[in-house]
Amino acid sequence: MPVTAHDVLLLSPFLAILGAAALAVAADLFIGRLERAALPFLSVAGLGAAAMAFVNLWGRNEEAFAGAIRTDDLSIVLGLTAVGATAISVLMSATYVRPAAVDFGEFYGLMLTACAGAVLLAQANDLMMVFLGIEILSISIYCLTGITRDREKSAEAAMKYFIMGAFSTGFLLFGFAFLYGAAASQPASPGALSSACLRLDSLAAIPADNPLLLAGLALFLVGFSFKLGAVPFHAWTPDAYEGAPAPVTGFMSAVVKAGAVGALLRAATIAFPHLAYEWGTLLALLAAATMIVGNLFALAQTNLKRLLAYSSIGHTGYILVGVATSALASDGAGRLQPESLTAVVFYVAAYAVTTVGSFGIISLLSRPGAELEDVSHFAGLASRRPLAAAAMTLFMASLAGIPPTAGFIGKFLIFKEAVSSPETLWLALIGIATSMLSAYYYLKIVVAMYMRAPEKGEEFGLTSERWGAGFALALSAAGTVLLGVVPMRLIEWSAAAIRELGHLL
Amino acid sequence: MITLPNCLLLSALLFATGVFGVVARRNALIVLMSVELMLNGVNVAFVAFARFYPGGAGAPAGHVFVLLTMAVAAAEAAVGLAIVLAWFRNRKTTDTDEMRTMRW
Repeated sequence: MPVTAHDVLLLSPFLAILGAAALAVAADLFIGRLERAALPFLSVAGLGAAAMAFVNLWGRNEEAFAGAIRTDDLSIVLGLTAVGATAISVLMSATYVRPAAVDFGEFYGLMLTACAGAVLLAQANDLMMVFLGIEILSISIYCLTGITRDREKSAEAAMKYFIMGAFSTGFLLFGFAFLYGAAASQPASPGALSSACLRLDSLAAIPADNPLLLAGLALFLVGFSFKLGAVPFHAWTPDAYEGAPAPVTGFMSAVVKAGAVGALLRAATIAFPHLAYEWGTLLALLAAATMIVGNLFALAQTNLKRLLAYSSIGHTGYILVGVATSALASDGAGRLQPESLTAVVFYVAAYAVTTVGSFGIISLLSRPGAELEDVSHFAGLASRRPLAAAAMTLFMASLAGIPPTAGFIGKFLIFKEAVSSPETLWLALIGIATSMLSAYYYLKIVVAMYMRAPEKGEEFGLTSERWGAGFALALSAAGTVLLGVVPMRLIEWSAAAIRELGHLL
Repeated sequence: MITLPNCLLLSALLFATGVFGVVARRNALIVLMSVELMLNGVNVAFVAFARFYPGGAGAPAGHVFVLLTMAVAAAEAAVGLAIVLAWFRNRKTTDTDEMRTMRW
C-alpha cells in the first residue's frame, strides 16, 4: 500500500507541527542563549502553517492511509482548537521559562509534539492511531510537567502523572486488544485489508452482545476517563496541575481535552453507536460524579492551581453530560442525538480559549522559585495590574458560565439539550446546581483582586518580554468574548463537523 | 495446550500481576517494571487474537500493533526513568510513599 500525495496532504497539519518541533530542537544546537528568544516565534510559525493546512482541508472529509486517519471537519475544529491553545501557551510561556532557565528548544519542541499528538488523536480513525496519538500527547506532557526538574513539586507531579498515565494506558490498550479480538473474530469481507479490523467503523458491525466488544468498550471508557480526568479516575489531576509549570498547566488542560474529546466523539458515533445506551448510562454516572466531586473539592481550595485543576475536573463533567445526552436521547437503534455533540465541540473550544488565558495570567505573574499559587497572592492585583486583573475576571466569568462569555454559551448549549430529554433532566439539574456553586470559588478570586489590600512582601511582578505574553493574553481574552457575543459561526462549524460523522438522528 | 482461552488467561495473569505491582509496590522502579508487565500482557492478547482468528481479516494487523506497542513502551520507559531520576535527585529516595509534597 504505497503512500500517496493525497495521504500526505491530509496529514499535512500534523507534519507541519512535527517539522516545527524538529526545527526548534535542532536550532537550539546552533544558537546562543539570547537567540533562544526566537524559538517561540519559530514554533508559532509552524503552528500557523498547520492552521493554514487545516483551513485548506475544510469540508473535504476524506480518509488517508487506508482509513487510518480521517481529516474531517471534526478533526479540523478540534485540531484548530489545539493549535490555537498551543500557540497562545507558547507565546505566554516565554516570560516563565526564560527566568527559570528551561527555555531550551526541547521545551518548545515538546509543546509542539504534544500538540501534534492531540491533532493526530482528533484525526485518528483506527485503534492504532488513537493509541499513537494518545501516547505522543501524553509522553510529551509527562516531560513538560517535570521540565523544571530542580523544583521538587515539578518532579513529583511528573512522577504521579507518569505513573497514573502509564497505568491508564495499560487499561486502554488492553481494551484495544479486546476490540481487536472482537473485530478479528468476524468473518472478513473479501479483499479487505488486514488493518481494516482495527478501524473504528468496523466495530460498529460487531453484534452488540459480543463479550469481547463489551469488555473492550468498558476498558476504553476507563482509559479515556483517566486521560480526561473524570471521577473516579481523577486523582492525578490536582497534583499534576499544581506541580507543572504554570504555562504548561493551561496548555495541558486545553490540549488534552481537545484531542481526547475528538477521539471520544469519533468512537461514540462511528465505533459504538449500537451500544449507545450502555456507554451513555456509564458516562452519565461518571459525569454526575465528576461534576459533584470536581466542584465540591474546588470550593475548599486556597491554592489557585489546585482550584483550577478541580474546576477542570468539573468542566470534564459538563463535557461528559453532553456526550451522555446524545446517547441517552438516541433512538435506540444506533442513531445519536447530534445537537448535544455539537454543544460538546463548542464547549471544548470555549473552555480551551478560557483556560489557557487564566493559566497565562498565573504564569505571567509567577517567577521561578516564587510561583503565584495562593488565592491571597491575588489580593489587590487590580490596583497594581489593572489589565491582568480585568482579564482574569473575564476568564473566571467564562469558567463560571456568566454571560456574555464563551463559557456561558457552552454551558447553555449543553444544558439546553440535557433538559429537553427526560432521561437526562437529572444530569442537567446537577450540572446547573454545581455550576452555580462554582461561581463562589471563581468569584473568590475576583473578590481578592478587587476588594482586598495587597499583602506585604508579596510583590508578584513581571520581568521581560511581556509583549508576546500580552498579545497572547489579548488573543485569549478576545476569543473568550467573541465566542460569547457572536457564537453562531463556531456553532455552525461544530454542527457541520458532527453532521458529517454519521449515525445521527 | 496452546488454545485461545489459555493464551488469554496468560495475558490476563500478566496484566493482573502488573496491576498488582503498580498498586501495591512502593519502589518507583518496580512500579515502572509493573507497567511494562501490563503492556506485555496486552501484547500476548494481541498476538493470541492474531494467531487464532486467521480466518478473519485480522492476522498481520495484530502483530503490527504489538511492534508499535513495544516501540511506544520503550519511549515511555525512557521518559519514566528520566522522571524517576529527576525525582530521586530532589528527594534521594525512590519510595513512592514519599511523594507527598502535594495532597488534596
